[in-house]
Order: sequence, then structure tokens, then C-alpha cells
Amino acid sequence: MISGSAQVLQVQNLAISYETRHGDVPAVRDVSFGIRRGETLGIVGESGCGKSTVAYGIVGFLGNGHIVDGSIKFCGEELRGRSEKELHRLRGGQIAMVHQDPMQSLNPSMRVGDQLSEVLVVHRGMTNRDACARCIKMLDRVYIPSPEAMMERYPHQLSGGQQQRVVIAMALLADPVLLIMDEPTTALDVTVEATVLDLISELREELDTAILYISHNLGVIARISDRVGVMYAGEMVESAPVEEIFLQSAHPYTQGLLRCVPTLESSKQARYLTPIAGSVPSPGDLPEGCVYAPRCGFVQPKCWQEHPQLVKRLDNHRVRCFFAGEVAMTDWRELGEIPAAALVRSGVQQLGAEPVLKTQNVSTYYPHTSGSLLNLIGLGEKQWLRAVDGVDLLIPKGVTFGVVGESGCGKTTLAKTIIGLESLTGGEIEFMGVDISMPVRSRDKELIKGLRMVFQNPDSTLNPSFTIGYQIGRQIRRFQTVPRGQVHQEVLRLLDQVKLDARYVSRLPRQLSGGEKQRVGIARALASRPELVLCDEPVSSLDVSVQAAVLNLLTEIQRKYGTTLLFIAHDLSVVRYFSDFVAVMYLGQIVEVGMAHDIYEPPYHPYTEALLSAVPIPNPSIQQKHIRLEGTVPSAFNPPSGCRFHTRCPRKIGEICETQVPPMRNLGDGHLIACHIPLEKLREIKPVIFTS
Amino acid sequence: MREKQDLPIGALEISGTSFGGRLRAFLGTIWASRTATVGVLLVLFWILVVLFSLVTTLDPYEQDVTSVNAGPSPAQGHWLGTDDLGRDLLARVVHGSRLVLVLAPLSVLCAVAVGSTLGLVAGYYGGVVDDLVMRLLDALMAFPTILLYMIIIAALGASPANVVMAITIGGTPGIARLIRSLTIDIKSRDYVAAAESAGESPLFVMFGEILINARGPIIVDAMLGVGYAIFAIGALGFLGLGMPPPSPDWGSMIARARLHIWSNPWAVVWPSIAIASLVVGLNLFADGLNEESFRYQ
Repeated sequence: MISGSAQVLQVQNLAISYETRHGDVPAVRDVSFGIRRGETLGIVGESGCGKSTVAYGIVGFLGNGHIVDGSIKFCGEELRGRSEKELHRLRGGQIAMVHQDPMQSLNPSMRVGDQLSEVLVVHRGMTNRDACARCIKMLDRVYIPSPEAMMERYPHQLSGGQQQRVVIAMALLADPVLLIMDEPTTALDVTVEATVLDLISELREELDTAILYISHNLGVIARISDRVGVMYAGEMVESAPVEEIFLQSAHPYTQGLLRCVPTLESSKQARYLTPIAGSVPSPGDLPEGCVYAPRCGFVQPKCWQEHPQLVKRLDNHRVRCFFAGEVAMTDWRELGEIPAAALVRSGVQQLGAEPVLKTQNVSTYYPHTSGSLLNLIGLGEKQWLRAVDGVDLLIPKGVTFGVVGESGCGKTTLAKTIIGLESLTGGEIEFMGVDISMPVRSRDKELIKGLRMVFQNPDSTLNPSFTIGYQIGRQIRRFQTVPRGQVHQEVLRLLDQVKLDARYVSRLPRQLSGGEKQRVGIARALASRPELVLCDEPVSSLDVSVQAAVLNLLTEIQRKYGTTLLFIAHDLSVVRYFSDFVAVMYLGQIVEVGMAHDIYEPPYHPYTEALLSAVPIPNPSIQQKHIRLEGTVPSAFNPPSGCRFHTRCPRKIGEICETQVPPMRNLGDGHLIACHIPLEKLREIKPVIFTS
Repeated sequence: MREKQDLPIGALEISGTSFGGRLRAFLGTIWASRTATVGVLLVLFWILVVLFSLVTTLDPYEQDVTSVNAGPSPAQGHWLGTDDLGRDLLARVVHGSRLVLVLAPLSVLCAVAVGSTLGLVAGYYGGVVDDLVMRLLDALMAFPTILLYMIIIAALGASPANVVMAITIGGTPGIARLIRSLTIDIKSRDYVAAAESAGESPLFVMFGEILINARGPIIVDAMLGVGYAIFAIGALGFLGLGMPPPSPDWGSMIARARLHIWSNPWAVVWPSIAIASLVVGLNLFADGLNEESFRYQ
């Protein structure tokens, strides 16, 4: 079936429109690319740029969209304009797709084994027994532990990483020629993501499959792709081999994306992030000339009038820009240096400062009763989910204190406990010298005023029924920060603080973009003029260009008012960039804490080391140690004895790790590591990240 | 953590915040759906009839002894005919509409008020409070509605106020359940956590933050509820438990005319059409609105 050229997929001038109440909206225009056998094409871009639409167009699953123009050739055969039946024959089992959310592809009420073998029994006419044997082999192939047992399980009994492996196994069972992956690791933790990415690369080499890999994460794309296509507002703006994209990019958008990603090597003391001004235009309202012109730093009069074509710059390097040559020559990696005067006092000087927040042995347990009969009559044994278990923190005034860890490590619960939304099971919290170990309802208004929170999800952080002005004004009135008559001016001042103008006062949240909503969330938290703001993953669901702007905003506010920030995130690069101090959490406990630059350089806690080696870095010339954690995070109902990390630790030294709780060892400058490994040994560890 | 899928931007309906803008968007939604349009027209027709009943000289009680149990005869001034006592059917249907279109929405309003409060409290506090409130309402739900109405009316006597009370009690559990499930969903949103972390009182959080965001489903459910209430009022009238005679209640009109259905079927037909068209209109309106607002999502 495969022709000599080995070109698996050839997409030419593809255009796709969606049907809406206001007429057709072009989501994808003039997109061309090809993928060969054994090659991975990464498509990267912010949300709303049409990446997924391209993928859905290839598999013919567009919902209320339709292909307007262009051609899609799969193994030399045209797919466009074919009937459903013919498409089915042409595609057969040869194109497989893996989605972001594995539960979308798995039937929750069917055993894993039945779902997998169904593919073979129904489509290949295999007998049940043969199919089963093949499935077990495939599960083993994607590194699922004890595949026989896994066949008997239901999807909900698997961890997120395992679910995604099962979906990949299912996709591979049909022996696809083309594998389309739409953000397959976006919902996974960084250590799990690393193992799934390893698996994908390995399978591609072994099976010689063509892969179309879609992601918004530049680091992931850099790690997995051979070639990269950058999409912006429904168009392919640049396509080139991976090194050229990351090291010699010639389109202002690609450069802009790379410039606004925080990397592990820099901190906010050293440089500003450079956000891209404005936002992705909506497909119904595109600029006339170059689609990127309104946000472009290189914009010339010509860009406003003429629409550039994707033209060849070098072999294999195509750019959609009139001035690609000049753009490529610029020193775009030289980043916005911060004027010396604006430099914040570095963390060291802050060590002696009065702590704003002090927690001692803070624990938050959730009771859990299973549905057994004994529990029903109240006689059952209560189980406790130990979400946070004995956390000591000391946050000096005016610093940014980062808390990092994978999902389920208790970082959000810790924030909610501090702010009083969850009640403390044990321990003490002190805020500005006052005990606040009680729920928010019994706290004094003055205390509430000094301690506010910014939430994670921009789509739910604001009440959709009220205007922005009302929601901020409510806080001002509640805490009476200004006299009654001046509430409106204060709202405007706060909006100005977060770089939004007066027009936003009367807008409803649904009229705002994600980044704007998050800014309003910050303004709302600042309305009471707090001493400490808890930021629970404030940027993790934002696009990188918007994320950079919000991080800059927080930095600026902190410089101006000396607000202390507790910054929770799962992205190690963002935490590194943004924090003065960092605490690494694992299973409800802090395993390492210290100044940011100390955490990211040896000596490491073995868990920190593993996290760092898993972070995808948007620079193909940087090498990382290959450390992958075995198994899954143990249950917080019944955490492992001794050191909680011992079940997965690659540097476990012996029985002591299983029996004794590791001591917090002080390495000086406030750098603490909870580990049994002798300090000298820890100091000998080589850095995780190095340039080749 | 997750990137939003690349959705077509048109999926996000953006309308003005001014009242006029919102009204226009709302009307646009209705006109976009044929179902909703038909429903609205039917309901509008009956609202016009109510307004007409306020100004007309038609008398629902006046007896014309010269034509008893007559069919439609415009010549005699009885456009729809007369009943067994010689009363004009047009006058009775027109005046009956006023009764129905006041009592039905009123009783649903009461049911929504009581049901929302109970549902909010149960959903927001959860635990023992939830168990207590919901089990009580479950017990109420265990009664067949019509039996419940009959018990209440039989105990309190037939009067407009008691009909409203009966329908309120019958409708409360369903609405409370709906609001409870919405509350459980909405209370996990960040903006509720934000309000709680600002030390807002539970009352403010429930009514100020949660209830207002449950309004969409409440409106649709209430509209369907008005339809059921009209049925209930008709059924009670038919059973002789509604408005006391001689009030022009549609249900009791049917019950009375049923005795003479072979000699004069028109007296049964008109009030039946009235009830049916109003209920169908409300249901079409609610369905169409519901469907149209989810079409492009």
C-alpha cells in the first residue's frame, strides 16, 4: 500500500470552516505539510490556532465543520470528497488517533481487555484467544506492569498514565501507518509525561510509524519531533526541522513563543519574560494582511496590506513572512534585561526578615468511609486521606515562595488550609505573629483582609453572572479599604494595576479571555490590600504568551507593594523563574526546601532530581540525565513507612529508607533536604541539565 | 493544566450587557428555533386573551334561556355556543383563562421559592442537613401528586388560595432536587471558594453566588412547571376540587359539559382545546429555548 516515496500523509492547502449561527467561520486556511514513514511532525501553537481542527479534518471527524478547500492524500489516495464508506475502506485501521483525555477513548463500563481485543475481533476477524494473546503482548510493549491482570480491570482502576498507555496500545493494535496524537500528555504529570514520551519515540523507531504530534508545549515538541510546524490563527507560519525551529527560527511568532517561555536557567531577577502583545484573533475576524501583523514587533506597512505566503527559506525551512531573512538575523535570544535599580533584594537578604507566615506540622486529613454495611450503621473504621501531613513552612516577608509537586501531592490542599477553606487536622499556622489555625468563618475580618487567594481555573474564578466592576467593588466595600464614595475610582485603580482599562468595569466574565479573567482574579485578591497572596496555579491553564504577561504582572505588583506570594505550580520552569524560595512536595510532605537556585542545582533530593530530568526543555541542544520513576504515586490513605519516596526512589540506600522517617538535613542558607543519603554523597550528584 | 480544545470562536455567543442587547439576543434565540417560536405565539395568544377578558363586556354568568346547549351560532351572539345553563362558552373560556394564567404561574413561583431554598440549603451544607431535607422531600414525592392535591384540598376546602398551596407543595420536591444537584455542582467552582475565602456569610454565598448561576435550568423547569400546574388546576376542577361553581374554571367546565357530551360536544371541546394549546405552547417554548441555547456548544 505504501508507495516508494514513503510519503504517508500529504496535506495540500487545506482549509476548514465551522458552521455557526453567524455564518461560516474559517478555522484553518492554506495548511500544507507532509509526513514520511518513521517521521514525527510536531504541530505547535497556542489554543485557538486550529491545531486540533487539522487533526480532526484528517480523520474526517469535524462535527459542524467541513473542508472548504485543499486536499488530503493518505498513502497517495485522496481522502477529500469521499463517501463515509470509501473513507472507511481507505483509512481502514491505518490511521489511529490518541486524544488528550484518555477517558474519552475508553469505555468506562468495559474491561480493558474486552475493549482492546474488540479492535482485533471485530476489525481483523481474529478469534478471541488470539486477540487476547496479542493484546497482552501489546500492553507489555507499552510497559504496563502485569498485563494479564490489567486486562481484567476497568479503566477507572488505572492511573492517568496507564490509561494513556492503554489508549496508545489500542491505537497500535491496528498497526496504523499514521498515528495522530492530539496533546496526549497534556493532562499528565511531568514524570509520567516523560515516560509516555519515551514510549512514543521508542515505538516510532521500532514500528516505523508516521506520527503527527500536536501540542502547545514547546518543550514536549522539542523532545519528540523531527520536524515542527508552527501554527498561528489557522495558518502554518513556519515549518522546519526541529533544531532550526528552536535555534534559527525565522518567523516573529515562533521567536515570540520561545521568548515568553520561562526556562530552568533563568529567574525573574535576571530577566523579564517577553510576552506577545495582544491575543490570537478570532477566526471570524482576521486581519487583512499578515495574520500576525497586529502582534508583530517587526511589522512593516507591507504586512498590513499583503498576505504573505509560506515560502522556502532554506532546504526544508519554510516561513510565512515577508522579512524572514531579517527576522532570522536578529539577536532575538537577547532578552529584556532588567534595569539594576528595579532588582529586588535577592532571597538571601530575606532570610533574616520577619516571617509573614509560619506553619508548624500542619496536617489536613479527609475522612473517607467506604460503602460497607458496617460504615452504613456508623461502626466501620474511618480511613483518613492524608492530603497534607506535617508541613513546616517559614515564609519571609516580601518574597515569592514556590511550592511545586505533581498532582495529588497536597499543594492545593495546603493553600486551602492556610486560607481556612479546609480545617486543620493538626499543627499550627501563624500569620504575622497571630494564630490562624481556625477555619475562615471564625477568623477576624482583619486577618481575612491580609490573606487572599488567586485561583487556578480562569473559567470559574469569576462569577459569570456579575460584571467585573461589581465583583471587584464587592471586595472593596466588604473590607472598606476606601470611603464609600470612592469605590468606583478604587475599582479603576485596581483594574489599571492589572493593565485593564475602564471599559472592563461593565463587562461580564464571558466577554473576557482566559488571561484577562485571571488578571481580574488578581485584582480581586489585591482589593483588600493583602500582605500575603496565595496563588494556586494561576497561570497553568493559560497559553504561554499570556502566562508570561501574568507572571510579569505579579512580579511588578510585588515590587511595588512588597506583597508576599505563595506560588503553587506543577511546572518546574515557571516555579524556577518566578520564585525566590522553592519547596518540593511529595505525597503530602515537603522533601526539599531552599532558595530557588539551590533547588535546581546539586545537591538534590532524589525526587527533585527525577522531576528535573523529566521537564521538557524547549531547546534541543540541552541534554538531561535520563531518570524515570518506576510505578505510581502510592495512595495517600496508606502512605509508605519511613521515607514516603522509598517505593520509587532510584537512589534508595537500604532498609533505613523503609523503616525510618528521614531527617531534615540542613545544607546551609536555608536549604533543607529530607533524605537518608549522607550529605557528602548528595553533594557528589552531577547536575541533571547540561549542554552537549 | 489542560489546554482548551480548539473550538470555533463562534461557539461563544457574545452579546451586549445592556438590557436591550440582552433582550435582542434572547429574542434572536427564540426566533432561531421554530419550536420556540410556535410556543411563544401560543402563549402570547393566551396572554392577549387574558388582557381581552379585562376589557370585554362578555359575561360568563349570564344565562340565555333561549339557547341552551347550543352549538356555535354567531347569529345569536354565541360564537362558540352555550352550555347546559345557557351561558356563553366564549365568555367562559375567556374569563377562565384569567384564572389559569394567574394561579398557575403564582403556584409555580411559590414552589420555586420554597424548593430553591430547601435545595440550596441541602446542597450547600450537605451531610446530615442534606439527608434530613431530602428524605423529607422524598417522602412527599412518594405520594402520587393528584392524591396529594386531593388530600390537601379535601382538608382545607376548595378555594383559589388552597389550590395554589396544593400545587406549591406538590411541585416543591422536584424543584428542590434540581436546585440541590445544581448547587452541588456550582459550589465546587472557584468563585464560590473565592467568596468563602473572603469570609462571606453562607446566606450570601447561597443566594448571591450560587442561586443566580442556576437560573437557566430553573427558568426552563419553571416553564414546564407552569404547564403541569395548568393541567393540575384543570384536573382539580374536573374532580370538583378546584374553583367553587359558578366560576368559569376550564376543568369544571369540562366536567359539567361531559354529562351532555352527546347532545353538545362543543362545550367539552373548547375548554379542552384551551388547556391543551396553552400547555403545548409552554412546553414547546421551554423545549425550543433549551435546545437552541445548547445547539452550538
